[in-house]
Amino acid sequence: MTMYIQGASAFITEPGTPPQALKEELARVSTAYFRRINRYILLSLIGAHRCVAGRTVPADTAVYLTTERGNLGETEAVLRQIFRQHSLPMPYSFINTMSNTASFYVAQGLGAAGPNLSISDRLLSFERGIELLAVDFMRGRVRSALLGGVDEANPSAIHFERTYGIPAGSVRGVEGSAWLWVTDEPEGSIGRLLGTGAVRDAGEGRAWLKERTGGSPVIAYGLTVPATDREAWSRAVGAVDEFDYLTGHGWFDSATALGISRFVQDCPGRLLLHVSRDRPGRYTLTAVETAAK
Amino acid sequence: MERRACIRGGALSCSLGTEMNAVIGAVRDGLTPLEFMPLDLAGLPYSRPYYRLPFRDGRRDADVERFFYDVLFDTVERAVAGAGWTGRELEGAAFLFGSTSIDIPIYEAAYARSEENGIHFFVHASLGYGSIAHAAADRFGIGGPCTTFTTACTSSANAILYGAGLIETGVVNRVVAVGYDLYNATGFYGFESLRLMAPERYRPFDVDRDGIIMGEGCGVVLLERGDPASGEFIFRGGSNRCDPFNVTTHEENGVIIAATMRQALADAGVTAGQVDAVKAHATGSDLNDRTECAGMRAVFGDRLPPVTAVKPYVGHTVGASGAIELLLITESLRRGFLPATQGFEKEDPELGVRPLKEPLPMKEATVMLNFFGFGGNCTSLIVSGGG
Repeated sequence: MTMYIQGASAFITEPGTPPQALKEELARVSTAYFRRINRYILLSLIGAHRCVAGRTVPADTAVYLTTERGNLGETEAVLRQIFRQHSLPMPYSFINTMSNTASFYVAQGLGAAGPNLSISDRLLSFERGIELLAVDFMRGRVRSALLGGVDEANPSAIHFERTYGIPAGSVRGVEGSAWLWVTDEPEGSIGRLLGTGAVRDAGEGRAWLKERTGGSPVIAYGLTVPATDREAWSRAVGAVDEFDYLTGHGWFDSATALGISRFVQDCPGRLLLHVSRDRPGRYTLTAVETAAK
Repeated sequence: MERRACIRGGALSCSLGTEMNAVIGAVRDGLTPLEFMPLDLAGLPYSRPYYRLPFRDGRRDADVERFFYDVLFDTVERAVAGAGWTGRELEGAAFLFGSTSIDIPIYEAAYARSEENGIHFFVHASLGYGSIAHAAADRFGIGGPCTTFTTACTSSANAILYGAGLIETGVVNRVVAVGYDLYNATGFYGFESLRLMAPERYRPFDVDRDGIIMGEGCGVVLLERGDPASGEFIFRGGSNRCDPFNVTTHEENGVIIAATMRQALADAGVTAGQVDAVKAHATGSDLNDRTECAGMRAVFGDRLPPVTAVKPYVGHTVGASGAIELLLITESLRRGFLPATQGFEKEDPELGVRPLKEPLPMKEATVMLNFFGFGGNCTSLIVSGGG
């Protein structure tokens, strides 16, 4: 079972970008008209439509939207209506509080009637999306899928430090929507998704990578991999270079998607090993191989 | 050994109680423990029915956050203890959590107490969608994948579907699949804003049906690689699809709903004729019931097996309905019957589906369980076993 990458996108924007600017950006990549959509849905649509880039996806294409915190702004609006204004919430505000509303609009905009999931895992949301995509591929349920990581900006230094255990300001925060279009067809593909998996340490990581490919990787790290661990990882897997997408492009909660999609776009003919670390200190790896230009 | 997932056990916290024999006894007896909840926060002079958890010890009022975790941890603990899973077995298990509201009940309570407005409030109060699942996984020493599914009313049905998938593809050998939604004003007032809530009684598929009645609850389903013991169910297969017709409703002819059921049958290696019973989603709203019945008629034609719905016992527990309703059906069958659809009285000729009015004696069965939600989300599961 091989997952071939047919498209990649990485849309990032500064926190507080006016909604009108996002709507204009969406209009540049999609001719569809979406009513009553909010900031989070706009971000999702822009990234997904950029990834497909005007092509037609098969009607049974799956959508896996991964996110750390989903749709914050609309939820606050609904609570304000109930608890402060003492009224019923606006119907579409309520509907838009559900995070799968965004994955629905992606499916509707692209005509994708396959599986449709909105999922999350603290610090590993995008990796979990790859895991479930692999299940569907192996079970023969899916042959074409869009897999994205979407999050609004995290506006709180306190929250950032509590969640990630590192000082706020150590990375530039952005809003992001990064996507891959994956199929089982090699023709025209720009890379291969080699899978994701959990390991205890760099030694296990080397074995995990060897099972999938013989090449020497470029290595990229998630936000919470400590600097002290990185040298051991680089040495263990024989990394030939580092892809520092966080310094280069900024960070949002589900930024693994950003790193992988940027690598697919920027680095032809290479192998990427992405290393993430969760709070108990376990590592999750993702490997991607890009086609030569 | 063939990799397949069997349902090793489970536990419930729902309006009918927490002890499985008592819960299933109440289902057999046709109990529908409704309460009426005011809509006074929005200044409305009326109430709506709701299925509340039967805890009247003041814990919820004293500390919502503690109550929230107490219910979750207690339900998981009962399930794990019942199956006799050891700490070592749990260490390699996956924890899959399905919920519509996730942690909304917690930060809603904080919001009600606070005078703060704006998005900054949420980043203090909410640690992210994955935080609840991780709190539970940490509590029970569960070290495998820890994934939260938020796909509206199909959330925990999808957790079960993909939990079985993780076992079938060899990622893990055990899965703790949880559905949990606790009362929250966002959902209760939100559904009222959509004018979807029934004013008095739950009557799914009835010609006089007039809406949904919400409920709260937690269901925990334990999946394990291996063969079923006597009376246990195996997970045969399933399907998830998206109907891109509309964010709140499905296409009226039920095309995608039917496609979901057909794909689930194919995935399970089961024909429509081999299905002994269908657990319908049956929300009781006019359009949802119509589209669901259109889908069933398309798949089963004039050979529709017995159909039933269990929401009238526990309410529409939204994201938790997948785990809770699967357990109500499988545990009823293990005790020798398929539940009746309480509240159904008069057939709607437009639906062409007449659900059970009385419990039906049934033991071993292959059952299709259907779940449909906002965002066009459609999930069908097929399980076999019982007796």
